[in-house]
Amino acid sequence: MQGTGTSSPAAMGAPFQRRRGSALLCAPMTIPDSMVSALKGAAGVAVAVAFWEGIRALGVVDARDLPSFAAIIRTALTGLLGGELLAAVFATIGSWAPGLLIAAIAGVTVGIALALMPRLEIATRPLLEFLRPIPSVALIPVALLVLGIGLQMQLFMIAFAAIWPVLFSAKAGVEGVDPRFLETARVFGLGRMERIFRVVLPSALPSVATGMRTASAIALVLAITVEMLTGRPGIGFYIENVRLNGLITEMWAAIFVTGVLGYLVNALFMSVERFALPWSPEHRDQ
Amino acid sequence: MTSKASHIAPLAWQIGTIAALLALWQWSALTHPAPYLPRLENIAAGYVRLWHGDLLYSAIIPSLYRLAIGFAIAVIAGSVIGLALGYLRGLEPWTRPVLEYLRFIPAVAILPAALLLFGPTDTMRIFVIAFGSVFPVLLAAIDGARRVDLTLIDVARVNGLSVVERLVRVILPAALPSIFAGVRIALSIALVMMVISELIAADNGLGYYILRSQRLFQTANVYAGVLTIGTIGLTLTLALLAVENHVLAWHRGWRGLSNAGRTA
Repeated sequence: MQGTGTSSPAAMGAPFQRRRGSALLCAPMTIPDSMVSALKGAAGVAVAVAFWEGIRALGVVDARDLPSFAAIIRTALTGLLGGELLAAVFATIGSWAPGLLIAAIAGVTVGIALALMPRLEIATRPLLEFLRPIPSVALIPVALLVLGIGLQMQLFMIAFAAIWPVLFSAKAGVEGVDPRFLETARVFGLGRMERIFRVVLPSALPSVATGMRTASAIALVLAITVEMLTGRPGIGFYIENVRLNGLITEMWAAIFVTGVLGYLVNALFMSVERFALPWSPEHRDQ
Repeated sequence: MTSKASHIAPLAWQIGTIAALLALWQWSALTHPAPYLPRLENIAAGYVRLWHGDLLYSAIIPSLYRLAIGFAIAVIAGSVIGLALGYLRGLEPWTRPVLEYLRFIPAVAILPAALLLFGPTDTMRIFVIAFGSVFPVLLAAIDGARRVDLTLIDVARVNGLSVVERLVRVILPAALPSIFAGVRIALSIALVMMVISELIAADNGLGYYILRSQRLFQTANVYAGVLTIGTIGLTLTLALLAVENHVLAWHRGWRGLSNAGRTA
């Protein structure tokens, strides 16, 4: 649903542009559709920036609290090119990645186990259904009690929050394996472990990859939240710290960079989905 | 005979698992007393205390009030803007880069900015809840409106419906199933943002209660608060599913009918 690939929405908009384009441009030289939508997108960004500057100019809020867009970009660039901001980004990635990795390994293992062992699934269902709706951030105080402040606690929170999408997508992926594949494998005399590694896992991987993309965004939120709350090094702590020190432009620059980081993380997992898993049903039809 | 037995057996397993876990917890709490392992009766007492008397008004009600307003803003704004953007397909290339950027900002990162602009007020917390949960609704509404059967729109146009009428009477119903899927995601994000905003800057609400209890080492109250948030999350999710089932009853019926027609 949200998996808007870069190509399909542009393709959806294409007929509209072509109709417009031929009428307005009389098309002696044809501008490619992709360039037209890139220009429109740039115009949209320009409007958004103008909106920001407009709020500043109207004086609805104190102008000191809203630095100009150019100043934010400039500060973001200097911060990234050898400033503290880059170090903060890497610190966040440094706890985000291992936390996500733990969630991925544990989630896939548990998800597959639950799908292959119905009795285990039945017995643990109330527990899972009970744990899942608890917003993971509410457990930060509990984790503080048990683990104290530190990397261990941060990794636990990231992994705990990010495990759910992986777990349930792995379970759904395994449950959705075409039984004919399993029967074929059995006919060829594959053992139980071989069937899991050579049939079940590859068929479940597309679903797991989608779950991983959701999990990556959640893990980022948790990493930043824990940094804000406990002062662990990273972009969350950086944002809070510069705000408390009154460095407003630095704060907005860090928020801007966080958005870029979130975008890049999603793009990374989108391309993982697309290239590493060419047999995914979503791509089979294309 | 067998069917009855197979219904009872899973239930027995489930009750058994929960009872075993609770027993293990209580046993460890009694034999290895630690600050993070309060006894079950203390947690239960804390839970009951939260739902009665002062704490109901200083913890649960403020949280629910902010959640309700922030979530309502997100659902309404997300649906309205999303339907318009999805229906007016020409707008899509203009808005896409901005939306694609905004939706991936981890919503917590916005919190310090909101704190700066609005101060530690309810407006700030409501803004953060609404900002965090608006994007799933918005994107789902865009998607739903874009997938509306073009024949339906043409029929509406032929029958002389205005743009607003078309949006309300054709596009909205057709996009509702998609919107509800987005609203369900938005609810869980809204809960997370509610708790985060109270953990970082609040003097009431459940998040504040949990954090304060943790700092005072009233650990049973921490667990009771977490349980309360879980209860609220579960209740709201079930309520949303009930509303969805009710509102989309026509949709399922219609789909079932068309499926039946296809197989017949």
